Amino acid sequence: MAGANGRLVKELKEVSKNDTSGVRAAPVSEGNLRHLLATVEGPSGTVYEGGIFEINVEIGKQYPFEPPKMKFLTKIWHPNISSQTGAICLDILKDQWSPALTIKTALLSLQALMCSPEPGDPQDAEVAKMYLSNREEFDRTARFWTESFAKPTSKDEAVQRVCEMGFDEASARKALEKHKWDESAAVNELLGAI
Amino acid sequence: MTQDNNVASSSDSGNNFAESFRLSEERMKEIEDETKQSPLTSMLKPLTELEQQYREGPFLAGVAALQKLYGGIRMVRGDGNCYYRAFLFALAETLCQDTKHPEGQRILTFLKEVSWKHVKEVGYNEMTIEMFYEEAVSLIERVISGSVDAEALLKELNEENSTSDYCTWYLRVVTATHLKMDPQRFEPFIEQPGMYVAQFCRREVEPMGKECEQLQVLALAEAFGVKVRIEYLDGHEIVAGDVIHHVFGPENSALQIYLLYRPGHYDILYPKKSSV
Repeated sequence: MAGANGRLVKELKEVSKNDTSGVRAAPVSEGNLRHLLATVEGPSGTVYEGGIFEINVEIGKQYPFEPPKMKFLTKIWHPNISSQTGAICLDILKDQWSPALTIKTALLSLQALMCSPEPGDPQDAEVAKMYLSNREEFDRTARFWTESFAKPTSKDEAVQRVCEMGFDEASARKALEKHKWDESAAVNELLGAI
Repeated sequence: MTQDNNVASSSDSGNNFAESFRLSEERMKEIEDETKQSPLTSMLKPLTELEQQYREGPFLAGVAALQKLYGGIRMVRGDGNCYYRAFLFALAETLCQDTKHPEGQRILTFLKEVSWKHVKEVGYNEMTIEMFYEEAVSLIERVISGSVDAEALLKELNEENSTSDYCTWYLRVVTATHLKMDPQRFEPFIEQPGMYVAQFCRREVEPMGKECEQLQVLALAEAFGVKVRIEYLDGHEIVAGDVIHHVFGPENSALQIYLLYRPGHYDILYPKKSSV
């Protein structure tokens, strides 16, 4: 139906605005409104504070009758998000979705999930187990992951450090991205290529 | 230990969880595909169709009792939206068959003026509801102006991912809005303990595919001012030769629709002339 695309255009206009909500999304490439890159700011007062988390958003043909497909691209230590794949366990992204919700409300729900994890309904069993049995270690790990993977400056600094070893910025960034910002793996690859 | 078991036990606990989740998702998809093979709203069938489904017992006696009053039935797809979809079809068909129906204009006015105003009042985001609202208004406008005949209506309301789904979901919004307009009245009837109207609507009314309880049945009938008579073929005893029925919405409404309830499902009934 014609209306569905019109709604998507309006939604994108709303969610790409720079407001105080801490969530944003925009098309990955021009001309494709159905593949978005979203960012969610880690809520203050949580172990994710200060982090910017990137989320891949895909809008299917049945949208808004089906939920947007969302997955964390930035590594995050959270009971309801897979530490391996970024897959999210959240009811409104599954059977509790309704067309009354939007991409923006879904992102805000993710932010709320970061504030209040639900270890009883985990996506990542290992993280949930740690959350329940050793909260201190969980907090420490989650903060470390936020520092390592979700700080916008940490990526630039990593590129900088690799460049200082004598590689140009473009190849350094490419290798780091390929190895999910694991510096030694990236450097090994760059060295192997020489 | 077989090789399969070895594989399963060597994977981490998260993988086992993911595996069982994936399987249940696959099964759900299968059920969904099976359901999709039946039409959204079937052709009109003789009520004797029901006899073939029940060999004996109270259900068969119930079918016999129903046959005194009703001649036809239209099956609605069992996808959890059946009450709303049955309501939509029966309402549109009634107005379509009699374009001079005195209630046609009232229904259109209700949709265009009252329902939209209330939807916004209870806090829905206009942007999210607009296209569903427009589809519902367009359908009723076309039906009462006579630009859609019964045959075209049946065809249109059987198109997948189209008018029927859009209007059905708007009926969910109208239902939720009616509940939200008067939470104090409806809260005591919510079966889930401690749940507020807003929460109830978010979990049980707004998502497509959520089956409805009597609360939603009542709310939609009241919102539209349509008398909904439901015959209950649910294995209960026959009382004085009839199956139990309940009426929702205003008793004196000039617009009446008839539904058949079987556990977890609604279909549309067609009364014999002046029998009900």
